[in-house]
Amino acid sequence: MRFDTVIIGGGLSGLTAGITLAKAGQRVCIVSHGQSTLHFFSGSFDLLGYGKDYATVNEPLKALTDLPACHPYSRIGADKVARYADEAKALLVEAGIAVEGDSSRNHRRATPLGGECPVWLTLRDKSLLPSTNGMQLKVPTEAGKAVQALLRQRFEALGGRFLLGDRVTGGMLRNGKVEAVKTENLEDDLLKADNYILATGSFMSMGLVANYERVYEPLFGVDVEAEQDHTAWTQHDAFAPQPYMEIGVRTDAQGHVLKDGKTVQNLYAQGSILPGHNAIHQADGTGVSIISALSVAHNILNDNK
Amino acid sequence: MAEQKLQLELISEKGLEQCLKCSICTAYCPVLGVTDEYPGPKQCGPDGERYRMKDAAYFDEKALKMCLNCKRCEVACPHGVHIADIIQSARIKYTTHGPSLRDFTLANTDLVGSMTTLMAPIVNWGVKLAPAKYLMDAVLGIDKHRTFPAYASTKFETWFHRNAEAEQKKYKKQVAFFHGCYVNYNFPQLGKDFVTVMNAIGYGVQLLEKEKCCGVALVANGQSGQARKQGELNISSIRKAKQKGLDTLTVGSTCTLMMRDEYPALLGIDNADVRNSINLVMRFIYRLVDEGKVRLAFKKDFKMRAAYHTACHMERLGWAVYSQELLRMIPGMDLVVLPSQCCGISGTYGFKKENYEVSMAIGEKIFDKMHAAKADCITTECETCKWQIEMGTGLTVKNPISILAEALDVEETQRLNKH
Repeated sequence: MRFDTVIIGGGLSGLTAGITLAKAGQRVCIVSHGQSTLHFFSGSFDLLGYGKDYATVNEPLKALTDLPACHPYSRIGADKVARYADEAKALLVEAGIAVEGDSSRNHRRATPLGGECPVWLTLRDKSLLPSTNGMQLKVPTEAGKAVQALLRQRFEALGGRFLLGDRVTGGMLRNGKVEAVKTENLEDDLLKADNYILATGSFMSMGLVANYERVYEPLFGVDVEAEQDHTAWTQHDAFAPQPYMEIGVRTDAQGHVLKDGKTVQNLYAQGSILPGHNAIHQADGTGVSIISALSVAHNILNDNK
Repeated sequence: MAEQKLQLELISEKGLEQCLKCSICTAYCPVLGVTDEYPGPKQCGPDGERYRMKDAAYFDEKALKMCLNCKRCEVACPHGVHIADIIQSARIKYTTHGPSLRDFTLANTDLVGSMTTLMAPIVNWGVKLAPAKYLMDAVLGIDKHRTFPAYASTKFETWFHRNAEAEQKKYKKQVAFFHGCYVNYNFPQLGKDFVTVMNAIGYGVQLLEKEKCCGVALVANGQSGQARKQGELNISSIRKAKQKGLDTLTVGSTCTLMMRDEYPALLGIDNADVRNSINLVMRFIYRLVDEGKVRLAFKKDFKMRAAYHTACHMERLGWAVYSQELLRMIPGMDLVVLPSQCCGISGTYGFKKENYEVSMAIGEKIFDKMHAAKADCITTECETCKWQIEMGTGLTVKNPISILAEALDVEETQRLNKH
């Protein structure tokens, strides 16, 4: 089957890019190996909760310039992050996900263990928010299921094709380009497209895989930024920022991934598979997923002009 | 360290070790959505399996019997755990008693079908009567709200031999057809529609040398030994067809999934050499059209609004996209895709008295959406979904291939593909 863009991964990031590309008139297919980590969504989107030295951030857009150069926001650029933040809010609202909050100033959400956390946007429908009594916390969360369903509905209403429960088993590369990807269910009917996006997530979603010897990206074997020595991936204190959280695939300035140090011209990476930040200790996981998706989608659309 | 051999990849049967306890499967289990009595796919599947491996006494037959085997847990699982396969395998492995009379009757579709086809008018009339329903309910435990699908007085196979077989030889390209018991005993028209479409695109149809029910109902009703025998026979026939260069096509999603995936996973039947030659007709045709090998012409005046229902096993196959794309090629077609969720029947499950309420409660969640679609018909590849939806909504349900047969300009299509 042929598409303009094939997105691997149907979570928050994949769907954000899918909606943006489909809305611009592209024929888009998302392949999603099962349901996503969006099912553990708190009901609030974060943009940047903790900045330099993990200090609490009140005005996320102003704190962007303090981030290290390796952070996905730094690589996208502060002005674009600000623009995409507005676009993201509009995209959510258009998908039927009513939210309150603004990128100029964080508000607080209560955490299940009784603390609070600086966040960007919170669902208006309070009945979807998880219990703040840790003993009653239920996963998957109602908020996560609802947002997943609404984003998928929006994507499909725009003509997108969503293959749930199918798994990309490998990609065919030739002359620095992806020619096709193969999936478990479609078998010898290859998925072909002009552009491909890796939105496969991090370790939990198997976008990255670690064993005792190495961390690798299982679909294309693209370059991963990680220490060689596996003892450097973790810190003994479980609550300390864990180095493995910052492992991800290498990309160039436009978001193309690198393989053996060379750019793959039509393969982009976005979302949790990106390196250089800590979604828990910086409270920027959903933000990076959405903002990097918009960045990649617009890079693809500009390429196609 | 260098000499020490470390296992670098996770390996386990049916992906058991891959379960990371995320519980996403529980959110998509239709049974859990309507009753608290079922412990759910995670607990009955990978969690329970760890206990059962220690001691068979942990096998909770009553709980595991509540699983529909819809496989929506497997579709939802982000780590590829074959949750439903784990549950069904445990039922096969640990159930020690034989099936009840009711379960035997529900499962042996060929035996019951052959007997009732002979007496179709009497049986069809009889099973609808109140005393018969009362008896089936009280004695057999088949819920009184259910009516058995009508039996045809002439089997599809009989019709084919009498009316269609001779002219099939004139086509250069050929396919084999696994019709399944529903087409053979209950609804031969679906098989006739299949032949019409295949002939229109220039393919002759052959029946398999021998064909038995795929065995899905046997597995569900504790008769896996019989299912294995039938499966071996089917695969051997499909193998012979493949040796003649023929793909084996199907019209129903459940038989297809059973023969491709559950034969090896649940029954230990080796089908690796023929698995890819078993194909749903809608996928087969879509790919021919996509590759430019077949052209379709449609009736100018054909108009239909159809609502596509993704049957559970179609969802698991991951092939709904093919049927949808092919239906969208029909110029007069206004296709609505319903949210993909279980209708609650799950083969013989919904016919059982103890499951009737759960079955209908699951169905209710999608019946409203079907009414709201305001379509001329619901379309799905699954025969048992058809029973449930027609009973639950009063709407007409058609297999996509029947819609294609209706919409095709057969003569013009035949002309386009004659070479």
